[in-house]
Amino acid sequence: MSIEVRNLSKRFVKYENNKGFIKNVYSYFSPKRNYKYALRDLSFKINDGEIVGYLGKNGAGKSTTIKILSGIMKADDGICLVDDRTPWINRKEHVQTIGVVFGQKSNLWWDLPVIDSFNLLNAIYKIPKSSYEKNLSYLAKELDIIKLLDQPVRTLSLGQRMRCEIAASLLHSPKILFLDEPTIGLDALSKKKVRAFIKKLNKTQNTTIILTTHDTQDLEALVDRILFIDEGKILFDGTIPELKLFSGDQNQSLDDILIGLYQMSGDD
Amino acid sequence: MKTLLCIIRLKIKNTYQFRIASLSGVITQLLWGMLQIILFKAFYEANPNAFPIEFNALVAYVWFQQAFFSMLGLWNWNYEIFQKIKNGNIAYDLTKPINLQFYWFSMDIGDRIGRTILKTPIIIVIALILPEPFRLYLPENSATFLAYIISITLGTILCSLLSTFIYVLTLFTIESDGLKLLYQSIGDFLIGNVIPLPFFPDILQPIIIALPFASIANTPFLIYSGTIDGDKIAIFIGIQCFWIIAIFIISKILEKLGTKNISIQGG
Repeated sequence: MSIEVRNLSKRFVKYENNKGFIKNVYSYFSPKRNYKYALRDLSFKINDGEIVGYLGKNGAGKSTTIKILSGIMKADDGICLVDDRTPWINRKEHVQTIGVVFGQKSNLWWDLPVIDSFNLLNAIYKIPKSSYEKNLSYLAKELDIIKLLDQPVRTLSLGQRMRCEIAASLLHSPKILFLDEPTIGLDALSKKKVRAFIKKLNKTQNTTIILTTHDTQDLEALVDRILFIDEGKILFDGTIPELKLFSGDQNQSLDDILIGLYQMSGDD
Repeated sequence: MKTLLCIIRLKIKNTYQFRIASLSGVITQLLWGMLQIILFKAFYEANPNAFPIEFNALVAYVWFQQAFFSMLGLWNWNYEIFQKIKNGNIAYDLTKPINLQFYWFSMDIGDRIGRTILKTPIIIVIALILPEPFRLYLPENSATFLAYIISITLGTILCSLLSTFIYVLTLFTIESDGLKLLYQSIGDFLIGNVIPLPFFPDILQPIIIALPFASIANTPFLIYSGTIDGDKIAIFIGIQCFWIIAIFIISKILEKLGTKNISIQGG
């Protein structure tokens, strides 16, 4: 399951706000449109079984890319092929093969035990019974959530919930996993568990993983390759050592390198 | 189908956690129903000839309104869906191999059934054993009862489809307050919650009956009491089916348009 993106663009319409009452009334009837480009001319290729860190500062277009790759949004221009399919054309078929975790959103039912949300996903994805049971016991063991399955989601800590969210995204054995800030707000131990699991998943199942994060330890622990995006374009593509070379000073910490890159890139 | 059943089961389970809240609704509903019957009794005694339906039919109408208050209530939204659209959690719905309209319909009808399942049987049983003039009578024959069951099922489906239509419309407006307010204030009137529909002037009757809201509650309630009988039953159920299909198609088209150009809010 490789991913190929060529010259991808996505823009959002912005309506201009005017100062002054008269101008506002005027713009009510003929609004002035502005376009904000979230992605422009984005190109990259990700091979089967890679773990890629997808970086950039806030608003650089990371989430937009993930949303396009996962079939939620349509790109305006360019080619996007995931396993030779365009995600937004055959959304239902496409999403059957991917898993998505948005660290800041939740996929589980707040008031019900975790296992109920899993069972619903089982019905939605039409997972064969044998593979559902196999996946569930595997994920429950690996993510250490066996004891949590019967607890309502509202009683879980963030770290516990995030492990459940990750399990939820993998029940249908996806070939590609998108992780959008999976370790956000987690304590050190939870982060460690999550990282160990992701690493293992990639090794044993050969799952392609695309990770966006602001946590450099995540990157150092997990990632083979970094894609750095700025203003909707790729600024850097390569391994961590290559990134250090790219930045000029090899003794700098990854954090400092990123800060340097952020400062280099335009203001927003 | 499996998804729909699973959602309904979860919703019932969810309500069961909050059964005290659910049961406390029963008392409110019973008292409100009795008050309404007392009010209409006074009208009836003043001039029985001016009454558009039989008094027993009205009693049945009132009790079903109360018993199905949550099931057929236009106010009964799944607020989670509105929030999802607003804060971007809808992203998760779109990463599932499921049709959005169907998923939201399942959620909505699941909510309705979940919130009703504890209350409705209790209210109906109590209404069946209350003394005159509050007593709910059984329907004349089993055919009427069967027609009633079919009609109320269709009514519930229509009610959820209409809500789903509003959810889908929210994809375009993002903010749902205006839509909800408009829908509820017009709908409550036309569904018969303010005054039962048979009490509307004769000139307005054909128009009101033709609108979708009458098909939600008015039709099954009047079938039960025998006010709609014989061949008319088929016509009224036909209207229900027509609206189900029409609303389904309209929201389907809107859903296709809405998801095509969606922009997800928030990072």
